Amino acid sequence: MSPGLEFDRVSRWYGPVLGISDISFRVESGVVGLLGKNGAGKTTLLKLAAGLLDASIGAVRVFGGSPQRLAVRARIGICSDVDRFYERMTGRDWVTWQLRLAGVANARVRATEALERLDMQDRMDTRIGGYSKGMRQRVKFARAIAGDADLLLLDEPLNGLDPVGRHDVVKLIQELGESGKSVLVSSHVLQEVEEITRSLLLIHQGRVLAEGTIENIRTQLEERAHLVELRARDLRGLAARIIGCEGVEGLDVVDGRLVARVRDTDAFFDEVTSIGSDFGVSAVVPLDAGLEAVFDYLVKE
Amino acid sequence: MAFLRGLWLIFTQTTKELFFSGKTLLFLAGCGIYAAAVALVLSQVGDQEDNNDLFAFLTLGIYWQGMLPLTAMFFSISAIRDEIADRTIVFLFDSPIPRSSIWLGKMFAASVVTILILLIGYAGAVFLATRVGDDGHYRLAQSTLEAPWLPIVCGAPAYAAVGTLLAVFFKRSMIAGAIYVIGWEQFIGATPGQAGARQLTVIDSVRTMFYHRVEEAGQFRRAMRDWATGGEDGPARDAAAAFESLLWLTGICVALALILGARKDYDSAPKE
Repeated sequence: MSPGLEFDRVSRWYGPVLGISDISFRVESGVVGLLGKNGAGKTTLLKLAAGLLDASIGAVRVFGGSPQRLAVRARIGICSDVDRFYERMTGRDWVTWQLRLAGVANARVRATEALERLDMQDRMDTRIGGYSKGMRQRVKFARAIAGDADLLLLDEPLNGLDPVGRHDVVKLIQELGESGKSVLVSSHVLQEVEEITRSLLLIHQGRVLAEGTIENIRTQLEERAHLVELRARDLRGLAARIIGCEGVEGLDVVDGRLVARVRDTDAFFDEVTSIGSDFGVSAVVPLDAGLEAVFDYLVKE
Repeated sequence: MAFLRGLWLIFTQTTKELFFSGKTLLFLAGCGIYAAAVALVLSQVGDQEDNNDLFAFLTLGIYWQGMLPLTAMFFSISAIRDEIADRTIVFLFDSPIPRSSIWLGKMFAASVVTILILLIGYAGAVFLATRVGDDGHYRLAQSTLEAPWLPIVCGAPAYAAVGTLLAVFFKRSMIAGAIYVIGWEQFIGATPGQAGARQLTVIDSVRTMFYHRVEEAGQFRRAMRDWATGGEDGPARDAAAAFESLLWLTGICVALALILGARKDYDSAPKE
């Protein structure tokens, strides 16, 4: 069976400016987080996936076909980053109109159901012009899911949502992934992506930095030194003791804390545990276990 | 099927958006000035023949040469460019409909809104023109009153097609539209008829249609004869030929707009 979305050595230039370069990946069923800083090429990638842009080189395929074919495009649900609507329309009318445009049967019923799923039942019949940013985001999201699309392209879907809204949308995205749909969610906020999925595509300056689960990506980084912060009563004595340990590449003292650059963290933690009481060690904190540190490291590389 | 569905939905939605916008009030006010000018001038003259000629002069001079191109061009460009500026066009582009249905739906909507606005203004002018004067009731010939119908119905889509082409192609299409209306239409439209260049304008065909529909015995028609024949004694271009020119012009502009706008990227300084 063809994957929901497939990029095969895709590059895209805007005149002389490179948007994305030689990107290949696949999105099968489930949720994949597209992570990158502002300007990394996320929106370009999503536009290519949606058939809104042509690839300069390479091929983009959605369920085996070109996303520019109308029949293929009908299988894609999009939550774009655009925050303007026909402001005089109500939320329900707008989603209904968009579904009719897409040729979806029972458009009004499905629009209502989607908006209700996003807790918009009380506001769906007021004009969009009076909506908050969070409500606008929900309306866009409702449009993406109401047509029961097989591939969902979600560009920063949590933008502007309050904590309850974020929780609901995260849960909904996860449910969509579990139900067998292919979902690509972009964000520049690492915590957001971590909340939604464990499967990632990291891009930077138009190139793929890493792909796979968070755990896999971390494994790819085992070669590098990790940063571990130590707090202790006898900082000087501790430093003198661990500098000679195997796998410790260096030490820095920062604001009364010791930061060790360590290659083998397991061995290092064992060592610190065994000598901890001698030097009054009160805290051992890995500084780069989070996704943010992984991302920063990959970007620097 | 997707084409017709998109065309109809975009046509109806754009018509509503355009007609119930503040811009419509602005253009209706312009039409009100025309109606008031007609009433004012006719109130100053006496016999019926003068009324017919004056009415025809004012209608051609102010309305068809001024309001028609301005209104049609403005709405056709605005219908597309406002959506591009707001980025709401993205919601149309990512729908499973061909882009041709978007451009054509907007062009037809601009045509219909233009026709509605101009007809409202024209109805106002006729209403006032038939009620001014010493006895409060000057009659205008039936042929004079009916003369503008065909030019407006044919002229509005032709201008809207030009506007659509400019909107699809140029980023600063309002400026391009102003240059087209003030520069091309007025300048080329005023060149001697023998050169044939005038047929490349919408206004020439509109004037020709108008000429053939006004009172035959009137001074207005006689005054237009030199213009219509290029100062020669030969026959004026007939209305069917003018209609054919408009069709060609409209068709070429629409075809170019559909080709140029088929895959153009309107949303891409890569911003995130």
